[in-house]
Amino acid sequence: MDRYQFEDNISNYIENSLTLNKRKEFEEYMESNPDAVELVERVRSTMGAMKSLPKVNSSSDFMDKLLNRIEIEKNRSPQIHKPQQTVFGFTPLYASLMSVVIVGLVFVGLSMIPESTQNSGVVTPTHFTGKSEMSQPVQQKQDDFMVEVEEDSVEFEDSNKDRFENRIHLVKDSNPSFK
Amino acid sequence: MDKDYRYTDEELIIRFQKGDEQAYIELVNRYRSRLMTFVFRFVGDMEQAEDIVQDALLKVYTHKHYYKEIAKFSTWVYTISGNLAKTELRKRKRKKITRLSQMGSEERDYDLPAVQPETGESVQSEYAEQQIQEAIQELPLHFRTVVILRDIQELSYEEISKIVNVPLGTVKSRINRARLQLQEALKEFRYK
Repeated sequence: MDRYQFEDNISNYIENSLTLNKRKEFEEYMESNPDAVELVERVRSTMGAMKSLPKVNSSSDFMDKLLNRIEIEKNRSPQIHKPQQTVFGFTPLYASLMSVVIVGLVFVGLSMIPESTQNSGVVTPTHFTGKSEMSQPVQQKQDDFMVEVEEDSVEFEDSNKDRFENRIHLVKDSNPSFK
Repeated sequence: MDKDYRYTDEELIIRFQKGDEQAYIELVNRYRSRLMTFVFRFVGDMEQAEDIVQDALLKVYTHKHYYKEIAKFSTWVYTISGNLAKTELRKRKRKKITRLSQMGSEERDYDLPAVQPETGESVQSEYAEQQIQEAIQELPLHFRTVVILRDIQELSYEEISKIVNVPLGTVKSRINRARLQLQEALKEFRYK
């Protein structure tokens, strides 16, 4: 037993609440440390002195004063305090405030969800469809950027054809020797 | 109330909750001296102690429905008194700091008159009481409460634990430390 353990157990020793082994250790410590015996005696003596302190009596008009104060209290607030009813451990005021806050949060949360998600209902993630994740989204993106044009770009208008024919002059047309 | 039968404190408070004012008077008579001793040893001032005990007993009257049968009446009333006494000490400390900070430096240099022991047994025991009281006042509040409840009021460790709402082991340790501190403060003073 060290000094700290010894000091920690002084009250237990004086009040006889140490186990037999601990008591033995405590007494061994006291035998080897004479100042420890003195300390135990001083604590015992302090406890005795505290117990022997005289009882304190109230003044003779204590009861009259108290009854007067009770009368004043009765006149001031006719209702004597009663413990408040609680809802799940909360006072009615706090419970109603909390439910307002919860409803508010739910409302705000719902209004933040995009409309498209709300309309489509079920969203199927790509990894559940079994299709390649690499090819499918890229194709989708390209489709998005493509401009839809009604005419086929390979076809020429007839008027444009005439226009180009007038402007193109072949070599054999201008030099008859090539004929 | 039946005069021959001695009601327990718990029976009395339940009777009072049902409207029997005489039961309240009986409880006040049973507890006023005990509470006065506890609070006076705690705050060290008679007038203040009486005010605090009055406040506590008034609270018992106005908040009678807060008492629940699961606890002992003494635990409840000591808890109320202890809390009020702590609040009072905190208020007093704040006032003292304000007053000292408002004083000039020359006003602060004062010495408390030393009380010298006189001859005669009663004076000697009064002096001893005063020394112990002063030593108690030097203790931190969490030590002071438990040591008064144990060594002066002679309550059980279990009840003290409920009053101060602290685990039993902590209560025992605090009481032991408080006793060590008290014996240190009273080392030079030899009381018999």
